Amino acid sequence: MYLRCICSNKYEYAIGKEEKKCITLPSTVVLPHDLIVELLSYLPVKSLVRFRSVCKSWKTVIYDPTFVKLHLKRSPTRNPLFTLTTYHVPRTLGYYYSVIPYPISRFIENRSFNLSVDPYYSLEDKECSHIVGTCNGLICLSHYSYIDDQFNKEFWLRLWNPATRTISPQFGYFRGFYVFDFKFGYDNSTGKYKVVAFRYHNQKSNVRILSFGDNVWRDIEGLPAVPVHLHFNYHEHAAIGCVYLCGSLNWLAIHNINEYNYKDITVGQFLIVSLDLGTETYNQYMLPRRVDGVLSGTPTVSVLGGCLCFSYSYKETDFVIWQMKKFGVEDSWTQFLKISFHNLQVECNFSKPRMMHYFELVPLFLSENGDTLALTSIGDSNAILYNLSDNRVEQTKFTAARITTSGCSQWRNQKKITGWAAKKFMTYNL
Amino acid sequence: MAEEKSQASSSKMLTLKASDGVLFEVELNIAKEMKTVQAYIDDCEDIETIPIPNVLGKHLAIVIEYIKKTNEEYDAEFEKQWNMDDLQLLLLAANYLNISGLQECLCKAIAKRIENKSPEYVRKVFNIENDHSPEEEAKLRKEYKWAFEGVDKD
Repeated sequence: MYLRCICSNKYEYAIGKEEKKCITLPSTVVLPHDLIVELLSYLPVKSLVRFRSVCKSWKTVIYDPTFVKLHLKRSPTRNPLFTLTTYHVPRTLGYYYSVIPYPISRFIENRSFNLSVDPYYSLEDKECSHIVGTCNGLICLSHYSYIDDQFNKEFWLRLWNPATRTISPQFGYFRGFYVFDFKFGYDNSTGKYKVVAFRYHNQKSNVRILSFGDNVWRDIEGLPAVPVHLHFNYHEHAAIGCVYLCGSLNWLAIHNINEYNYKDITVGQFLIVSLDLGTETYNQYMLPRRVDGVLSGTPTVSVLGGCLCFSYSYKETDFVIWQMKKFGVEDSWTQFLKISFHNLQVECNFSKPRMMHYFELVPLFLSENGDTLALTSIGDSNAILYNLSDNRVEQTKFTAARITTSGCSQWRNQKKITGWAAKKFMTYNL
Repeated sequence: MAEEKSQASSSKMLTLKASDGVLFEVELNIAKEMKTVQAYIDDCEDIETIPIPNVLGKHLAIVIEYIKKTNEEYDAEFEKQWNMDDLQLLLLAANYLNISGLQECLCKAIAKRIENKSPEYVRKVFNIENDHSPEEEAKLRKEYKWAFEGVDKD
């Protein structure tokens, strides 16, 4: 017997030589239930789906909503992905997109790559034409059909969980005139996923909300200010005008659109209108007061490092990003980055009509260690990677393999959505 | 490079007695990382030898070393040395001794090892009996065929 702690990697007992032999015994260790649950919470979704067949109690655990929440909590520690959407020519008109989940870390290491698209990720067999948004690994899709020649449409949604390969049937039908935009988010207070449909027309807005599960649209109060990007009809880029963060949807807005003149706008004219998905009421937040000078084009909102961000072009020479370090606290606006377009190796032509109304450079995401910022120009299929510590700029180059749309998978009926998040998904059109 | 935890706080020594009688002399601040041991000390201030009836000397030695050396690099290399049985026994030890850092490290390590394995392999490793009926199991495999693709051969 030893009296002192043995401080080395190789421990040795001078008890008997048998101890040093390597014996493989059949396992006699039985872990208690709570340790099994903890173990399972660190597994990726594909493994969990497979391990449901291990035994009945594992199947029960894996289906349990409390476990689902625990697993979701662990997911930021796993490999975060973002989603690329590719545009391709399908067999059936109207379904143009496929989704490609891609690990952020791999993207940062390897800027040029060929993407091969898994046919499972095509929207075609899901019969949806648009990606509304992503949250906790779930992707909300939408589609519509015209019901007459007066632009009246019928809209509907589907909720898709690519990690478990399950998709809901169509739900949330409603009929509406003109264009409705949708946004998808998660209400932390009730644990419900919600979809918000909003329409802005003739300086009036209609907003309605649906909780997944209830499947009933409820009209709520309209937006208290004008959502700037919608005013200029940039629906396909609704992403730059409204973002989901911390259980709320946040629009870049302006109080009096009639005072808006893109030639000499200042930050003070804008505000953030925030819809709390729990209370379904609005808050309004001012933008950083310390910004002076004239902006070129309407700014954009985005989310970086878990914070609401506000970015714009300053005097047509610099790109600036502010971060709201503490959500909802106006004093916490901090300038995150100011870099010249020249250093970013980006050419911004401010005489282009689109640039007059909104500014095209959009932040995509920040790497886990906060070192690398990914940006893109709207409509461009490449991204820029800017390294904040050494000021290096690199352009990415994607080529997506053409999708062969043969072999559509069978339509799935009545699948249960378990709401797992294997990875953090963010959708951007690249 | 592993760094030894600072001994500045206390040079008072404590003895831990494993289930097979092996004794370990450790500094107080190391012993305190085991919340179970901390609770014992809080109850009986003058104690010198603390019994650890659930943990073999072999595993207690590993646990103590972990506490002394732990950092990210060490964690990454740490789990590679042990076989599946030892990992599970260490997990039980970490759970009993209430050392959350080690418990998380071991859970992640075990999860990583079984991630790409078949249900049969997993049953052997955790000593679990398959109580699904053959029909139930066949149904699960058929419905989620994609989850069974690319799995390591047993």
